[in-house]
Amino acid sequence: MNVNKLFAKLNEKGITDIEYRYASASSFSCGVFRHELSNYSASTSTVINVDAVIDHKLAMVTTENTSNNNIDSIVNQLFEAAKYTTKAEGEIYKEKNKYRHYNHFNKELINVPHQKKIDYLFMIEEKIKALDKRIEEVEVGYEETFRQGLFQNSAGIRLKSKKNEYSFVASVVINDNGEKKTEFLVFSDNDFTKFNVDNFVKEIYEKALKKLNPVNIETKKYKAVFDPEVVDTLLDFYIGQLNAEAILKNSSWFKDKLNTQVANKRVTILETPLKRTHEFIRADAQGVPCQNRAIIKKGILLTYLHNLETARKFNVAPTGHAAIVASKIGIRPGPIHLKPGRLTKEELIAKVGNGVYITSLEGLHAGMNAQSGDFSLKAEGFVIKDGKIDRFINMMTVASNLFEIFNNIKAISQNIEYIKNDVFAPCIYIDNISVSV
Amino acid sequence: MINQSLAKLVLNEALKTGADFAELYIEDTTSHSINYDNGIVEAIGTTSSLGVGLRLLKGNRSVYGYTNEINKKNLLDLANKLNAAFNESQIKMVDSFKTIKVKDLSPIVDSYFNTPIEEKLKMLELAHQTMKNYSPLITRTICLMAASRKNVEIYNSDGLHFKDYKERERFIMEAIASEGDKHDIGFIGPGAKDGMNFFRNLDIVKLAKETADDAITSLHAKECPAGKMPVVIGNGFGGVLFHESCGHPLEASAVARNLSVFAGKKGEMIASPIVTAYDDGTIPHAWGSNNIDDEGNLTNRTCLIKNGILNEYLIDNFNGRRMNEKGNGACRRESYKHEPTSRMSNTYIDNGSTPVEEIIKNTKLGLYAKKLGGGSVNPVNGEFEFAVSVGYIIRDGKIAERVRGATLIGKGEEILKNIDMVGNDLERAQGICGASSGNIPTDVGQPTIRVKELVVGGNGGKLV
Repeated sequence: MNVNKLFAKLNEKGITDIEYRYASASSFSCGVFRHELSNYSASTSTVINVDAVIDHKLAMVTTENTSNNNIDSIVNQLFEAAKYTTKAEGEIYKEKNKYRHYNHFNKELINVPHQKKIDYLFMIEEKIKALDKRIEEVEVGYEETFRQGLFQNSAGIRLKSKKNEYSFVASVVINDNGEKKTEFLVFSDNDFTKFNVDNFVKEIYEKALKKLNPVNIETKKYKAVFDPEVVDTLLDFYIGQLNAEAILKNSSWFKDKLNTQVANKRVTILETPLKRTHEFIRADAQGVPCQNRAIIKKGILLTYLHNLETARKFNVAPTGHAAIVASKIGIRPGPIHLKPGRLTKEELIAKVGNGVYITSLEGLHAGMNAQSGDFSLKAEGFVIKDGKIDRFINMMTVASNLFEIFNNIKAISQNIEYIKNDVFAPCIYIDNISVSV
Repeated sequence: MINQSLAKLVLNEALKTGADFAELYIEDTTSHSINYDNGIVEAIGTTSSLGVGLRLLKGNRSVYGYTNEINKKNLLDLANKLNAAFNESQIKMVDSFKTIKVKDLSPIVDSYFNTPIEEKLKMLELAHQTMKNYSPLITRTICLMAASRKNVEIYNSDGLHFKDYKERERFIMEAIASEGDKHDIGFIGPGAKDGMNFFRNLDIVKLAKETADDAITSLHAKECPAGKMPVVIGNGFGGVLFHESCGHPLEASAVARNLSVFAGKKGEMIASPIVTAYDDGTIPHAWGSNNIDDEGNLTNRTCLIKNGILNEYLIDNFNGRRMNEKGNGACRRESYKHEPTSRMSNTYIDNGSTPVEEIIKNTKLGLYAKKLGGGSVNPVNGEFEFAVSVGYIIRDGKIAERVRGATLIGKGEEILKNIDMVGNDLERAQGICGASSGNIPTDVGQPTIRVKELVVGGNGGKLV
């Protein structure tokens, strides 16, 4: 679509504050199951999102029809939406700023032949199967995506982006005398040379093996260590409650807690959208530049997360957290990290002595009540015995409260484990976690 | 949307390298939503999409791709990209198409899309006012009215051509209750395929009061005790337990690959003899119903379990190949961006004969999980978990205190055998099911049931 034509058409109707977003994606994926290339997929798609301030109201349309023929229809739909929208607080970002530039894009990835990726899948399958006769099924997949984006508004801000990424995924079923355990592993990057088949095979096998010969434990409260992936998941829910819209509407635990102690002094939470990783974001959905910042420092809450509207209402500068959520300009956190501590993982586990090491939480979509912070979730993990990680635990649930967890952290480990592309996170140690079996 | 000559050209191009089946799926969707937050129309969203999915099969191999840049060149490019997965000579060609007439099981009398917005705003205002006025503790209400309409066209290399139209509607209500630092939420989200009749027949006041009440009682509830105990699971959305723990492992995508606890168990007793369960995609106007599935097969009322015996799986044509069975109308996808596979539609445990009062009366000490919030399952070993959104303790055969923060875990095959009472109050409720072919609308359902013993997770110590 010709953006200038779209803007001109809206200008003709007296509309001067307009935002345009374009996103295109192309992907390739394939999978191997039982020595066959079981699936193979290629796709391309584009979508545009247009919003305009009409009578002070922000109206929005999203469409996959990107032809110039659709301009009239988009304009009509914007006016129709504005007619019935009662909230009259639409605005667009007009400040002149410098933006950091980084594309997490590796052109070499495009040159890797598809056949090589498929060969790797067969190799992974064969190597995993060869490791242990108890491995009953192996399914391996590869996915590669290339995304391009454009943000443009009528105040002259125009930002382009592109990134690519690939993932190898494997899942195994291991059957030990009728007791079936499953394990799953993902490796993502955009540099194909970083993928090592042998390391990948070794990692998933060792993870699966650790689940065999599980033990039952008692229903009671335990000292617990949360694995980095679990910490990362909990952080997403925790920081999500700092949404300034929820604060304004009195539906967040963090209301009236700015500049107060909301977490233990050990807790510093950093947001790093400008770090040069796949998570790099230079501007939010309204074109406001993103910044690296501490959100909670030594337990003290330093900021809420704002879009233009909430920033105006709080009389603060926008923080670069605007995002399209459910056909409106909502708020979403950027990449969040817990500042690591000094103990090694081994020292942390030794400090616990006896307890549980939680490696995953399941069913968060239903079992996490972000409003109250209460959660009760199926978990996987290991016994911590005499300061060391011991056997896998049979089915269990873990229950606690999100806000209490960050208030009661006893220790944080060093950044020890890679959890996704270039992202490292620490373990945390908490007392009194309810475990039920 | 795509004429027959172009469809023929694309399918024949796709078939050039030896695929034994090719299918073109074209979908034109418009979605509309009104977001009513605390009594204000915050946003009116319109989203439209038009795209094509192309699927090739050869034996047990599938190839899939899609594009939303629809023209002859792009479609032929897509066909060539995909047929590169095979390297054999052509074994099939399409000469012409026979258009199959699809009977509309849920005709829309009055479309959401042709109805003036004023009527919809009145309903949203009623829901908001009812929740807001229920108690001063209700600090925020969020209501969402949403609908989608979808025109679908399928051409396949068997020379068949299908056209279908689907319109779905949903009304979501959320109430947030707050007291000091404590906040909690009530939620309800009925849906159907019935145009404006769905909204007009809803008892908005009753649903809004129930939602507000759930938020407030949860705010004051004690933390749920943990451990093994008898669990009575309420009707309606309680059926999500069956959906997750049994429905997913009965899908051919898991069964055909031996990745299901129920693989190879057809004809075996897998549940208590008082359990009979169906997946029925033919229920008129139900949220999960369809006239045909997403590969053109007629939808079905499939008896999954009859008196405890595994009777049938949910099968799509592709996974059916590994099972030597034909698809039974259970092939679904979220959109053209998803390769279709076996999925549920409206899945429920059938009515039993025990009155609900008797089930409660016969439970000395346990949990009454009146409403479940959702859950998930590992089909390989059947391990599941469910969140309880509204729960009570049962003491001496009576419903006692409200509890919060409960979860249920177990194994599907064990829970099915441990159902020892089935009530007579069957109801269905609406949800969105996420799996490999995307997020699709499904009904779950059951009468009130009792499970002899389940692991309950919670932060409230032991049940005494």
